[in-house]
Amino acid sequence: MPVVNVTENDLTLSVISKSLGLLSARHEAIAGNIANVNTPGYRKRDVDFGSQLRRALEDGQVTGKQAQLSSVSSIEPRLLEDDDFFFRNDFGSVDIEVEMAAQAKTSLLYNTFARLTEKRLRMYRFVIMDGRA
Amino acid sequence: MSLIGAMSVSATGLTAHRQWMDLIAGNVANANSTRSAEGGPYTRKLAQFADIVDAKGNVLGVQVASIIQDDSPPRLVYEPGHPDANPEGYVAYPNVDIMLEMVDLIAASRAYEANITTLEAAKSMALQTINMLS
Repeated sequence: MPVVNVTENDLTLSVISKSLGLLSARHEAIAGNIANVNTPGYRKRDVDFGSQLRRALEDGQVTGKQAQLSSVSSIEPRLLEDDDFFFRNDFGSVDIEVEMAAQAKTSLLYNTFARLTEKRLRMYRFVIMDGRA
Repeated sequence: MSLIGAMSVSATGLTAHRQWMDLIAGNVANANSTRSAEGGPYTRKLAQFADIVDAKGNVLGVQVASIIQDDSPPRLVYEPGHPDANPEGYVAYPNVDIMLEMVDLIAASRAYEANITTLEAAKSMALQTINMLS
């Protein structure tokens, strides 16, 4: 009897888990910015979250679900470096309020996706338990 | 895992800003020290921050790269009876301005709090993930 990996073909689950990876990478970049708030000449970093994911899903809409799955799973966190904007007189570019807001947003989104993963896996369990879970 | 990485990044921020606060405390404590180990009055100490970046450009944190001395001139006060007075009767007091130190202290403690908040957020995110196991 062939072994079927259900979760491998689950687009929703792969988008959610990819989002968790991207958001935790983004949180790390923001933590670096906040740690360097008083570092002269520091360039702020960010990790792109939405646009890569959206592009992967839109591209795949034409070619089908398998293409969407593979393009979603091939997304790597991309580090963006800000190099043309000085926020402070010491050439630092960290705006602490903006970073704190971005950090709050990232952790809220992360918690949402974590909860979604839990729900999705519960649905699998429901099916596996024959609707008796 | 990058959430754990984010926590150690925040930890470096806490360490660096705590070191800065130590220097501020030293400056305030020695605001009236007319003698120092190097001779002459105490000189104000400042922290120089530098980012820690790996080969790929990822930020691993912040560090106090060096402790620099403020080379502005000492404050001269006319006190002829003071044992450290010069022949003209002036005593060289440290170039520490208490107001400036207080402003730096507020900046340092705000940055420290910001790092704490980030650390807490990373911790709660990691906990959410762990809760998926149950």
